[in-house]
Amino acid sequence: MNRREFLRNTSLLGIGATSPTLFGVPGLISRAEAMPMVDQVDFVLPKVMPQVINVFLYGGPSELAGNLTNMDIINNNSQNPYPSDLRRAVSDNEGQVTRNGFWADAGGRAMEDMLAAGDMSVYRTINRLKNNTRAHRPSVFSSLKGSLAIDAAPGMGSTLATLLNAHRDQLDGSDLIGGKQLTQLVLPFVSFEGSSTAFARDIDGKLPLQLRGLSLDEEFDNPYTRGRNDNGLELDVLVKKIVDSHQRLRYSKVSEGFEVRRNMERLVGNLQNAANNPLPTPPANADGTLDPDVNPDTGFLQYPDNNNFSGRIKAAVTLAINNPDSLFITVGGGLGGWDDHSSAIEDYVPRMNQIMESLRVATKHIRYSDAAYGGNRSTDNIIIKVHGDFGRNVNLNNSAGWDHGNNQNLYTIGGAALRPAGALGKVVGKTEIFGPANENRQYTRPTDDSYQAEPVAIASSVYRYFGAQNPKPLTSDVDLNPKGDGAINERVAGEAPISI
Amino acid sequence: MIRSLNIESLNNVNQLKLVALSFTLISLAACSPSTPNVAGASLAGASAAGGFARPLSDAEFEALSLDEQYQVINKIHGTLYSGIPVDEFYAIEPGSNLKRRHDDAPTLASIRTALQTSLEPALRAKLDREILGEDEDGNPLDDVEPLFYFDGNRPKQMPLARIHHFPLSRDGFSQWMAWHLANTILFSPAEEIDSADITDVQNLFRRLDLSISQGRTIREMVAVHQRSVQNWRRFRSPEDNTREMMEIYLGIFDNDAEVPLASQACQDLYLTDERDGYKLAYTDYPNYEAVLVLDKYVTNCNDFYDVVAGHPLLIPRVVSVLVDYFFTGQSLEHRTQLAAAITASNPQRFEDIFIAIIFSERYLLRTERPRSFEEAFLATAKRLKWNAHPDVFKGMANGSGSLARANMSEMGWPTMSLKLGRVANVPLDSLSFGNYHKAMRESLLMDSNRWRRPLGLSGPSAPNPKPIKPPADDADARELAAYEAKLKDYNDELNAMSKPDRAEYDKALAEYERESVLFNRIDDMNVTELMDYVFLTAIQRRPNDIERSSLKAMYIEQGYLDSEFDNRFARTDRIDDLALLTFDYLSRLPEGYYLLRVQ
Repeated sequence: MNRREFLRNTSLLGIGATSPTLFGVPGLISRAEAMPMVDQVDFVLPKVMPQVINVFLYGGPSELAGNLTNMDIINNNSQNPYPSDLRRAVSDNEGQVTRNGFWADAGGRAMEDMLAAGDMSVYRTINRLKNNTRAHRPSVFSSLKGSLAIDAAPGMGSTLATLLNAHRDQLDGSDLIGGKQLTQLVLPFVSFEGSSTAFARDIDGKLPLQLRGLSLDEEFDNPYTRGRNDNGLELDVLVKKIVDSHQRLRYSKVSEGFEVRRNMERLVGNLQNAANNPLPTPPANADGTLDPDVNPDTGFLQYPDNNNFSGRIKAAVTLAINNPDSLFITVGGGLGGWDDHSSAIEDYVPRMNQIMESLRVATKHIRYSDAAYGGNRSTDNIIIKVHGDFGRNVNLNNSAGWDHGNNQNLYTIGGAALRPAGALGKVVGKTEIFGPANENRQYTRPTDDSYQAEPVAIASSVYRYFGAQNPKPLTSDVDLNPKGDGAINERVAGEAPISI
Repeated sequence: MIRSLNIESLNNVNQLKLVALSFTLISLAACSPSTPNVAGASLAGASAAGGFARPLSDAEFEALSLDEQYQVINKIHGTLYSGIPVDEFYAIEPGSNLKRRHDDAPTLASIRTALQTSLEPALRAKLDREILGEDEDGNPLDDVEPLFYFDGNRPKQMPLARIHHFPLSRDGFSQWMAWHLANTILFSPAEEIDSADITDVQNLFRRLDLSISQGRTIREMVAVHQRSVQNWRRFRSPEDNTREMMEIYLGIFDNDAEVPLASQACQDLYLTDERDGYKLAYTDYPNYEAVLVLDKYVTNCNDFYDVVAGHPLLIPRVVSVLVDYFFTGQSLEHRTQLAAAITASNPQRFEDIFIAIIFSERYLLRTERPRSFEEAFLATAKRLKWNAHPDVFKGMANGSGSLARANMSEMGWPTMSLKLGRVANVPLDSLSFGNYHKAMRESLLMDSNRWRRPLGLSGPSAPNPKPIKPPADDADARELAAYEAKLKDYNDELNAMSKPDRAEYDKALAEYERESVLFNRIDDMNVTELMDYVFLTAIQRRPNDIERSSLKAMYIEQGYLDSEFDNRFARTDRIDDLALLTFDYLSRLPEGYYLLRVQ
């Protein structure tokens, strides 16, 4: 029975008669979670241990910042017109279209810089075909869980932790994790967005406490300290006697909070020190000019001021550089909404520019912290991925906004040591417009000859970096995606620069 | 660029449409009339929930042990962000300390009655004036401090102040229900997004409170809310708005085929941009073509909103949203059964659903879940008789003032801010809980200056002029004469007072006498009884043997007990220190952060 048939049937009956059926409807009662098929994964230790920063743009950002290639037809068909400079090259009377078809003022210049430096690639065709939806909840959940089973699956951070935990025999004591045991890693899974779907747990909850997501704030604020703690040691001894295994199970979430508190008090203190250290100093440009991201007074790199994104991105990168044990870090929430249903252009352009300028500094922060530039470790294992719920309509609606769409961009940055040759510095995917002119529902979609991938392939790529040779089982589920999705193919050739 | 006709609001249209709102729902027969009567179930068509959601009966309550009864009473109160201090539930009297129920202790029945009883308007106005420190004309009082300080975010702070300061009543309950609803996905004003601001918080909350107070039905409230500018500032285009109405109020996700049709029906409305003040406006291009949405033909947005408000899935959906909040952690099967049972009782008003949940046997006896910060902090504050810090609600709502540590946003629990409302699970990630624990411990449980005296743990100070202590029975003539002279001076001072000053004095004197009685009784407690008192206050149970012996050893080491009496009593001037140490210990126990199951 499809949705319409279901609704028709329920409207014919009284609630009492249909209650059991009504409560079988998805969305009425939230469900529990279960772990995907880790035992079906062929696991091989990676050459270097990845560190992934997953930046999630809640609300679903428009793809236009990274893709103006269809702008003529978009403008012709839109209910309301776009600014004319979106159809002119940057070299043409202050147009907005950059060499690779980015929107210059919406972060396009920073994107071009990162592309030219071989720090970033843009995938323009992350396109949902399976269980297609334009609703926030299923889109956010499937992206952050790496599964279409949005109620049943754990978060991708939890799945990754489970995968690594299942292969502790290979990881424990290995050079990859500094000769430590996996459970001795310091802050291996970190959220900079508080409680995150990326760390939603499996219902069995068998993951060791040390491998569960912990959260920090961008200021490395330390709420884990206790003031007026004169009798602290004695009281904690008594607490240990009283809070036995039964209580730890019964009050598991709060118990865990207490168990990690003391460690966090010390660790966060150390991170505060690291965050206060100056950023690296990049070498001067070949022509002797100063790097635009350097503070001319200090000579050090500097993240943009007055920028909603720079604090969190800086914090995540600082953590990754200073703590190689941090394997998977989520950043999102509090980054401003990307749900631009109205007044889109005036809000979206500066917001997109802020995040891309922050990311450009992040690429330099990572590079110039590398041993090749005087740092104490290699940093080419740090990957940043930026994506969101979904893309948006390209029609500018009557509230001057974009409604929910499908096709979106993935911005993937850094991590050269983990990627195949030629994976960075390119734009992948071609798009075309579909949908009737002068109506709201106009989208981009991949052309027939274009590469495309499902959003859950982003999670699959993360598992692949960490050693899953066949990550499909980790994104599969019985009902909606029985075969699962593999990693994004990073060997696909890039598109040529555009000419307009 | 966008041609339109601006309008101030759609209120007139709303009123007309509400009158015409026709519901297609088939009414249910009432459930068994033998189920105990509960508050809020009196509206025609609604009945007390039965089956899986049956209420805890008075007889079942009376059959519980004394301490279990205290837990149940505080579970209800805690859910309502309140609490019953130990001395208001247990008798505290020599020989039977904490062994029987106080004659005036609240019961299920008395709580139900209180929630149905409105405050006298004059009393309510007085309580508001006390919160604000204003006289009857709304002018600030020179010599009376307001109970609480507010700032530009007062619309987020005032509801908590009222919930905290109002006695248990229909007025306070209405504020609490509106608070809950405004924090769920159902009605969040989404202040975090650019197009909404604190005025939307104010107007939306006020509308919810008024609607609840006036007995509006769920369908009426949803119908009105959908048409409001607050709803459009949250969901800002016809497509966004219609999609979300079907998702939020009907639980229909993935209805992508019908969203464009619903959007077409709503094409005559739009939200202006920031420059024009985010007003809800007509485009002047209405839709004329009837389109089939949710199996009904609709032509305009009012039609569509009526379909949503009258849809059979509306009540199951809102019940499910609220069940998810209050029964988080329960199995899917149990939550489904609960939601089905409550839906089967044919709830008409939100009050019917809240009452069914809170008074259900399943909730009171068998449900255990983490407390939200309000449920923990404000309930403990009441049980501690905490002399509330005037900045507390500034701190909780937006992290300003000297109690910024209590900022709920830092706990992943911001108020009326999130576009999709608070999640059902209280965030307990390490950072959120770190902030939660620190605020509970340092801003409340260790804040002994604000609870030591009202809790009877240190002697109260008498108001000036200090009352004269009567002479001893065997006083000699000189002592009697001195007493008479002092009494005369005292009475002269009282007689010289103005009427308002005398009223204030009498109030302070009564408070002093009450606190003196309590202090003397607490002071007379042996250390076992004293520990019971402190434990019950904080976590509603008595200490076990390990806790008794370990903590007593610490008390002795700290010099809190009176060695002259073989350490069987606390030293009078260290009772508060003993409690402080004990509260510090109890702040470290996970159970204190849960609403516990009783059985």
